[in-house]
Amino acid sequence: SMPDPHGDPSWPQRKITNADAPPHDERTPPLSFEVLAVDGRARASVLALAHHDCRTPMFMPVGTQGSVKGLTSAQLLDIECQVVLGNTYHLGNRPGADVVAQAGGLRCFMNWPRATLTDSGGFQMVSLLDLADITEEGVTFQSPTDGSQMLLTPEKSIEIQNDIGADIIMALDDVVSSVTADRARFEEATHRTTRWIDRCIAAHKRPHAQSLFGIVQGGLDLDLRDVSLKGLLARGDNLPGFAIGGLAGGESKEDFVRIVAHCAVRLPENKPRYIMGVGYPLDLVVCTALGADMYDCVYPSRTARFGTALVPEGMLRLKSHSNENDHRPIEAECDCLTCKHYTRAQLHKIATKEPRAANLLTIHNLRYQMRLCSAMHTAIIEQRFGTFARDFIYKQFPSGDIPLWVRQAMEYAEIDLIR
Amino acid sequence: MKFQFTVNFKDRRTNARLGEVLCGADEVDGDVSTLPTPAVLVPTSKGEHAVLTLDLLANVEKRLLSVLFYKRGEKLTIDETTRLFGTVVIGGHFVEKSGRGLKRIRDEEDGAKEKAGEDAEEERARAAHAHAEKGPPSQRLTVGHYRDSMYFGLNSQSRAATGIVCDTPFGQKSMTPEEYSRIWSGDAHVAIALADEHVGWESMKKSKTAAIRTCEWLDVCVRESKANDIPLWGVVLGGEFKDVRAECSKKVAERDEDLAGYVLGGFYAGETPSKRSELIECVIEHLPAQKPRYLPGVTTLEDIIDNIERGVDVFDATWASETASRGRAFVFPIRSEDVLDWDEETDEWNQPCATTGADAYSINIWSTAYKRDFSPFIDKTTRGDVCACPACTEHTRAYVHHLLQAHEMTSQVLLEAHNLYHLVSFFAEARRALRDGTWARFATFHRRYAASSRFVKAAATPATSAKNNQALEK
Repeated sequence: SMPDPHGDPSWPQRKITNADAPPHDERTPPLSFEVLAVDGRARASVLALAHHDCRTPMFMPVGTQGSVKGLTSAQLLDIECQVVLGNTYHLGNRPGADVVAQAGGLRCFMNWPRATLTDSGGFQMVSLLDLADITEEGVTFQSPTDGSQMLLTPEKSIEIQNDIGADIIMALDDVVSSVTADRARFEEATHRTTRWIDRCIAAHKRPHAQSLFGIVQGGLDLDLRDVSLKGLLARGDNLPGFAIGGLAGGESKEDFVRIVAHCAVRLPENKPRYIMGVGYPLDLVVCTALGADMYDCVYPSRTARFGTALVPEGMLRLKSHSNENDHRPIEAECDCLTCKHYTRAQLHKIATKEPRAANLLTIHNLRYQMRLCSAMHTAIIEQRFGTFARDFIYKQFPSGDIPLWVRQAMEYAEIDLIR
Repeated sequence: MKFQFTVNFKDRRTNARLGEVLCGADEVDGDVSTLPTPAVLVPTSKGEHAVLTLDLLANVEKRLLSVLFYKRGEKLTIDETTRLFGTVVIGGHFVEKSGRGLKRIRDEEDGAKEKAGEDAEEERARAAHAHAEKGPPSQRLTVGHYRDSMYFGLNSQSRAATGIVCDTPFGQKSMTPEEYSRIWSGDAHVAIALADEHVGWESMKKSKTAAIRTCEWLDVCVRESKANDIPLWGVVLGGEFKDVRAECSKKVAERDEDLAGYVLGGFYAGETPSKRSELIECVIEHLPAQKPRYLPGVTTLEDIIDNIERGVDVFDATWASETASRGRAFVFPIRSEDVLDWDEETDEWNQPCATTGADAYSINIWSTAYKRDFSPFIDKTTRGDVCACPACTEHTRAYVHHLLQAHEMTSQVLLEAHNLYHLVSFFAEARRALRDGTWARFATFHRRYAASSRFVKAAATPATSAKNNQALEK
């Protein structure tokens, strides 16, 4: 009963090559989106990409530099991850687009058999603002490691993304921190994003293999958001999907909800809607209620490294003394490796202290996100998403002290919060 | 706790032996595992491998079992109970906070003896209950030790007559033999007696004192081991002095009926390497043959081969982890057939490489030479055998090089998995050679390989230079 390493197709992954991908007809688009069911504004869909058929709502773990910190690709498969994110700016710097291209693209480089998505480098305009110089031409970044300069233009970003080869690529947008007080800057960014989208579309050399998503900007101003939406929708023929950007920064949750509620339903129904930088489990439920399909965030993996596990009630801080003698797993219903083999007491001893603890908690937190999205998908198909959302919210706020932004979102979504 | 060691086969020409450790939880019938020896113990941090999660550790073992079963399986008995490595867990890592653990026990010792007896009983019961709730330990042989080979700081100043100083999660703490012994209930299949281990260059006088103290502590540990029902391995010390070593070995062996095995302590601790061989032989000479011998700290292959021939049964895998932490992957050949076209004269293939930092045993994945190298760590073109570890099967040198440069933790995961797999694979081959009667060939090959890897080439002849220049130009 020993598995045969040479004959058994289920034997843990051999290295994938581009030859493994299904032969692709250049005339058919590499993305198809089918909404299986709608419940209120929420949708359950199949997003078919060249390398994986994804079920949405979908959470996409972030593997900025080509790995989801501490985990191997095999472990990502175990938790049923569908899409992994890579970052254009970071991978373009190190190891460089040419190395990734030579490997056969990001999926071959990190041996990830399913789908990938690359962010354009736009967010680094915010996160690395001190090192960035933004002009109409593009963004000049100064590397924090060796001071060398990289000029990231829309053309350059798309070129790097073409080399990295992800299934979904993002347009380079002019991203402004949402807490900027300068409306003129937001206006400039909104219009520039539209001008840049044309340059992105023109520069995209592999539309038959990679799907370009446009990003709605406009800060916290609904008028600017409408300008951005209009510009993007006019270019809809070249944009298989859309994202809502410029959020998940420091803005208030009420503003966040207002913008998402406004933009999500104004994006086409027959294309995927991706909210960048979201988020916490509660954010996923709220945004799905408002009509979004795809999410990415570093929070689950990052908070894991700091010893916090995601649970239905919210967060479990494993270093807390209350866990010292708690011999239950993090979550009894969870099927992840960590919950099957470790108790809270054991994790309490090693959280933030041992390298493996970071991996164990990351595995749980990402699996939690996957299960949450899967549960939402099923609930929408079974036409009980309202109940699901309500139960989820009350699990997190058992005494009924539901925050204003959540109540506002449920109003938009027409989900009744009264028990 | 069940622990049993049997010697199944003895080599004719050397003192090497093939054995088997059977261990498991007493309560459940059939819930045992078998670890063939000579075997290797994986270093741990707080009870488990520092970097590799359960699934990866099991993956490494499963792959190797499959390879052995399919490729070399005819004479091997492998079933679900076979394990290919054990673990060594460190006492200091389990020390509880002072409110409940050491301090309390120490206060009890200072107080009334009878009360101390009862409270100690209660403490043990509570600990046992807590451990029982955690579930049984993994069926992998777990040996409890005081010495952490990964971070062993031999601090002779802080040794006291009453115990040793060790690193715990709550700082440095001194531990008496009683306190140390009580750590082990439920966590280990075997406990190693507390010993007054010291640096290898210690004076004769201090070595003697330490050896005497160790024997005294052994008595305490024997008593505790019976009370806690944990089999015990006695430690032999003695520094660099043959007579002290011999004396200590005899003394410890006198306790044979109370002991389940022996540990050759205080080696690879800074003693003179040239003296080490005869010291080890001198210790083993006085140890009974039917119990296992553990020699912690061994690193090089030559030493492993030499010590297997001296009759050591258990080693540790610290070398694999240390090599991984430096960003290096093992590539040394395991069998002579693994080496393709080995020409000892020119030996181009085996030469250490100044530009990449490779040596005969491992390659330096930090080197930018691997930036575009999409082959696995062990590449079929340079070695006759393919490595079936998770890292080589699923990833490439270029990827791990990138992860190292990007300071991503996954690099450590992949390097540890590979290095552990490779080292365990070496031990499996050593056992096979003993079983098939080809040990002499196996040992000779590795000795020659080691010697040639250190061989300093004489001044280059014109012929050699030309060949070297050609290689550089390629």
